Amino acid sequence: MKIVCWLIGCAAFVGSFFVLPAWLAELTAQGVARGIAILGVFILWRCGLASFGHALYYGVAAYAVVILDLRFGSSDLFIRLLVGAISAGVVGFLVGYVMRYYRGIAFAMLNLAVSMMFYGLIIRSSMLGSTDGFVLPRPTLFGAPLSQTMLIVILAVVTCIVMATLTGYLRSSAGYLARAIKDRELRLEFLGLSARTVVHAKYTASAVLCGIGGAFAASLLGQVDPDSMVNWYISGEFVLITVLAGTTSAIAPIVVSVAFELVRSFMLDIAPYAWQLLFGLCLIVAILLRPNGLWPLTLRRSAGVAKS
Amino acid sequence: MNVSALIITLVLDSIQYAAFLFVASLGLTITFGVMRVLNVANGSIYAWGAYAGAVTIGLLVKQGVHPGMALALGAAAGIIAGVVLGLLIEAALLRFLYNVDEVIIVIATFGLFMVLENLLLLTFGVQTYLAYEPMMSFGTITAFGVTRDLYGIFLMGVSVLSGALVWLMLTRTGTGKLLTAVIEDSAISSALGVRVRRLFALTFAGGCALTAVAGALIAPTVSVAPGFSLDVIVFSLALIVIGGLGSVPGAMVAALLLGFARALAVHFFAELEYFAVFAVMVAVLLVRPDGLIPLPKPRQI
Repeated sequence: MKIVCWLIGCAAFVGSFFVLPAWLAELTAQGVARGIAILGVFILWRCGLASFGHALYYGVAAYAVVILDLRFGSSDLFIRLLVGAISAGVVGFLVGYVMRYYRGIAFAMLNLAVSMMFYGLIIRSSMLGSTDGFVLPRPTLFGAPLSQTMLIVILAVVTCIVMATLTGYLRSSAGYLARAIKDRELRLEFLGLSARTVVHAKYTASAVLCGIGGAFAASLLGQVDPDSMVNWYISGEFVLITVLAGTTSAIAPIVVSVAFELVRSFMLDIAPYAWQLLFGLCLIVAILLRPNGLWPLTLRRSAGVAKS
Repeated sequence: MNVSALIITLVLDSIQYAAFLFVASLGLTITFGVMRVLNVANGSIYAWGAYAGAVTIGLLVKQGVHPGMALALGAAAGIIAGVVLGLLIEAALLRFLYNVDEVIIVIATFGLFMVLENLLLLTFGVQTYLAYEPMMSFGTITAFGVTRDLYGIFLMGVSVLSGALVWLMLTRTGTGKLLTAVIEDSAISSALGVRVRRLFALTFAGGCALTAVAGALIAPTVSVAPGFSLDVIVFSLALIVIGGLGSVPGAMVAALLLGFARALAVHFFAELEYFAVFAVMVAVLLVRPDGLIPLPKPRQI
């Protein structure tokens, strides 16, 4: 029964992009691409770890895609995704050797520092496009040009796969380890597991998700620049959306990210200087009133969410 | 330029940048040291101070007021802005967050940062404010073949003085001793009759006032425009994390370290200006995860 619901939901999600007007599909797709990256931040947030530097992996993937295009002349979408995921994953795995030892504020700030090192390199290096960034040609698929609609549909399909995998993961024992890390790491050690290894694995996984998101975002926008992909401020937005979405569902970050994108573009039209104000207030109110995120609101009636 | 002049320039540049960073993050250090609040929005308060200062100085100089006088009044405007904002933020947000995890406070103040940034845009618009007159009126000094702005040296003095005052306040006065008691154990202090909440409100307002007056004093040396606070936020976060969160002496050492790293980078490898600062931060955190001179921490069981 659940599976049927999932299939119908996914089909509706993918199908909707054929029906939506182009501008709306485009906006939604940008929200979805960022949403995949935010799912990475979400994995860590479930462990109680807030990274103020995950735009690093988003950016690493985007720049890897640019280099792939400029140096190796390959613009195939699947190669882009693969390169994005692998480059971000490798960087995340290496940085993870350090991050596994840190928690709390130190974790947040160390991530910030590492991402700002990368940012600092990019904005002062003309080889990496400096502050202007690069324009990225449209992606192809197996040698044939890919229309924007098809790109968005592939994005939607990949997103469905990611969400389904993560939902399964959240219910697996590996997923529940996050709860133990958040509450008391000693309990993990009693089970014979190393909390550091678990954090390292989750950190690498989160980097890979940010990489996939970054590769998609770069392909969708056709533009890669440091201030919209690597700056600490973007990492902050990721955390903001994750906190709003809460820790209970792998669908919530995507939904909130799309809502964020849509509201931002509407607000930029009506009140360009007030949209951040609105989101900042939302975040503050959410933290004060609903520390578990907004998503559990939808579940309260049916299941009754346990307070953590 | 000969070698001795180069070295003098390098040292002065480092100290001047260190002084700027130190005074811009002193408020942040105090609020974390006393209240365990890592206020990401501190950079926005700095920007509010800078705008208040720049606007006041600009208006007064146009009226024909002496630039030095205008600077003093600009600083006063900064202090007022800081105190008002600090009290408002404490009353509307922070007092509900004293019992939650430190990381949640970081995230909440990130939301606050977004709010304050937009309020700045709504209040002052997108234009650039210039208030260079006080800096011009201070003139320059030439010694050992090096020419410097006297205003920069004045800022160094202000920075050292405010650091010393804060340190004396925290360690040598009655209020400072009360604060130490609150830092050690706020529940017991409150049971012994210390009005913890009021002390917190005062500390936060004081920290914000320091930050805002730093902004107002630095306004004459820069052009005050939107996006102004972004760099200040990351650099001051880097500084206080390197120094050891909440530690005033640590912040001072970290400021000198960062100032020197940046001056070296700017003079010899201009591309590495940003990179150097954060590389220092990573290096320090790898060796000393709690920073150079951390505050004593209760043992966690």
